[in-house]
Amino acid sequence: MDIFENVDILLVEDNASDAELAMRALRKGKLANSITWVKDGAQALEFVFRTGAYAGRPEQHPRLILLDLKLPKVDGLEVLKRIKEDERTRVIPVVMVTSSAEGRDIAESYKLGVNSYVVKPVEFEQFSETVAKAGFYWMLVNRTP
Amino acid sequence: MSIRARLLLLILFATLIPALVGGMQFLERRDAEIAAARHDLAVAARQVAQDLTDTVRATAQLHYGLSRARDLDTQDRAACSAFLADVLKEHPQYTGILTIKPDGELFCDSLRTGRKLNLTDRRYFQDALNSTTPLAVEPVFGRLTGIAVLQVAYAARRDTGEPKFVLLASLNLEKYMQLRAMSLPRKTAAIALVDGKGTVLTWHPGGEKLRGTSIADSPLFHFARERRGEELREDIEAGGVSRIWAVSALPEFPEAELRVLVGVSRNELLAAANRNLRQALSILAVVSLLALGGAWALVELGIRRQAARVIAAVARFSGGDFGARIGKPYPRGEIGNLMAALDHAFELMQAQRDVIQRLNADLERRVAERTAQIETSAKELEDFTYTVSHDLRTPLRAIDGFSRILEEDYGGKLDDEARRLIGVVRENARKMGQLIDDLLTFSRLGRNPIAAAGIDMEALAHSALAGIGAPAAAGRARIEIHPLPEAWGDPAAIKQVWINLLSNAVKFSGKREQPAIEVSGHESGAQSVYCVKDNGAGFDMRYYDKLFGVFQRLHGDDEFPGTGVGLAIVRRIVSRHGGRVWAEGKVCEGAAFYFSLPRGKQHGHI
Repeated sequence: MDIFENVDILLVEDNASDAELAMRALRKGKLANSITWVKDGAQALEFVFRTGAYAGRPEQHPRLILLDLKLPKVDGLEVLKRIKEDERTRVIPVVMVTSSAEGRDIAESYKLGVNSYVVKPVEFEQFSETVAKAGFYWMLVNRTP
Repeated sequence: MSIRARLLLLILFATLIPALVGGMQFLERRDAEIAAARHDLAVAARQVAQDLTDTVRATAQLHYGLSRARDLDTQDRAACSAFLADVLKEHPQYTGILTIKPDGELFCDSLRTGRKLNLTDRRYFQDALNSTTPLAVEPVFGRLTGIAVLQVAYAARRDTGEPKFVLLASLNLEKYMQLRAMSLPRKTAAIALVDGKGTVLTWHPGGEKLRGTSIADSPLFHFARERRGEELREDIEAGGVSRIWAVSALPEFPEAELRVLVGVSRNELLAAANRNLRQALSILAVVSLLALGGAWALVELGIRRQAARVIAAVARFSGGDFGARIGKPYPRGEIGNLMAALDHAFELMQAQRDVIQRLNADLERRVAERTAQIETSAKELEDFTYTVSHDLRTPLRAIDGFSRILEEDYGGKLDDEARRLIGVVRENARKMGQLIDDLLTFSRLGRNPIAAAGIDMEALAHSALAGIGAPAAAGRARIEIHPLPEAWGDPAAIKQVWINLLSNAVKFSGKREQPAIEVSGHESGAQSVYCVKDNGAGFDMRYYDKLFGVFQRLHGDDEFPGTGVGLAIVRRIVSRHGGRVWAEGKVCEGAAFYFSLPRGKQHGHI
């Protein structure tokens, strides 16, 4: 499974359209060599902690996680909490990319230690720009030495 | 003043009047008793005088008998003296009996001393011999004994009228009066005999020192001399004791000038009457006290304690003890009826209170239920808006995004019509996004708390006007903001009101050649009223109902774009502040929107 060896960005998004749009925006901005897309919170956790289907993945953290808030099985806030609770994974930048502009979601996310919170705009241009900017900034900050 | 005090006072007065009447009667009785005692005193004096008179008469009879005795009509002095001595033995009340010859020589003598004595100068001798009556009486003191005697002389005459001799018997006054004194009823009584010169002949009891002394200058003697009848005189001091005196003369023997005096100590005379009075008054006092005590007990048990029971029950009831009752009505009558009525009232009040409590509990339960329902609804609404914000936007984003990708990646293969159609798709997706955003804003209004403060409305209106951006028509539009009164509310929310109303005014007057917008305000009671007036498209008052409804529009979107949420937001914000929104309009002539806000701090939640 060579695809995992080079994980730059982990995209957690249950909506295939949003996932495709996000990946297009990231690729267009030439931000990532490799993007792994998982569809729910459980898969995301398995990937990050190398369990279940991802048990054999080499020990390499993604440089950025783009996390949707509303996810099947395990929701985004729970995923965020687990990643930020764990010593090993705490350093991974997590950016919430979500449709929800609800104050309580934003507040809860920051409380749990999210690095950025981005509201998805409806318009494609704005969406692309937002995702690309957030990705660029955090990839830059979290550059592997 | 308490009922008890009033009743006791009443009873006190009620017993006082009989007590006074009774007391006066007792006083009268005392006076009567005193009068009776005085009368008794006078009777006693008269009786003694009468007795003495009778004794003198008896002596006269004795003399009459002796004058005819042959034993005395003799020259044998010894024999007749022996005879008289025998007579004297029979009559011990006399100290001596003797005969005196007409020449005054003592002849027969019961004492048989054989003494020679001429008694010519004795008044009783002269009187007996020379007056019309043969009897003469004179009180004297015995020369030997020193005690008072009453000389009763009788002239015995022969048939020719020639005097034979004068018989003399000396009545022992001292002894006579002593016996009388012993029969006097009272302890302090005194009995005295005085002669016409004021010499005390006898004084009993204990009058040895007074005997023979003169009281001629004393008030007692004046009284005795002046009053010849049964007279009384009070408070005459004689012998060291103040007494009430009665006097009686011996009218049959005026020449003797004897006065019998009987006196009783005033205190003793009054004592009995006073004792009776005291006794009667004591009984009266005891009866009055018993009456008072009885009345007090009656008032205490029947009124005061019962009133205390009523007061205590009422106090307990007022204090929140709704089970408090007076209890068994006592005593029967008004107070008992009052108790029963009060207890009945308590019963009713408790029952009513129970009903109210039940209703309250029911109400509270229903309020709690309703609140829970409302909270559930609010939660559901929140979930709904959350869903809307997240889920409804996702497909829109896909529509817009993939239309854009289609345009970008296949633009070259599409003709103009296809590109226009893609544009329509994207425009509608954008509009849908706007609708969702407005709907979210509107639903958040109901949930966010209001941070109220005093607001400078004029400044806020200017700031809102600047915030909506200079509209294309602003250059030719005339926008006038008059001085506005202050208001109390959440500045951010109220600014939204200004933004919505001003942008509406700008939008609907935009097609005028000379758009005119006027903002004004005035104070009305505790509220401030504001008005935004324009000369734009206006509206038909027939559709006024739809004006402030969510997603309700009176104009087509192509004519005046909009989502139909702005005025609904305005109404919601203003009503949450305790204010009111209303409008006036006329098609093609413009519209005026009014809203009111409280000017001062509101009590309670807004």
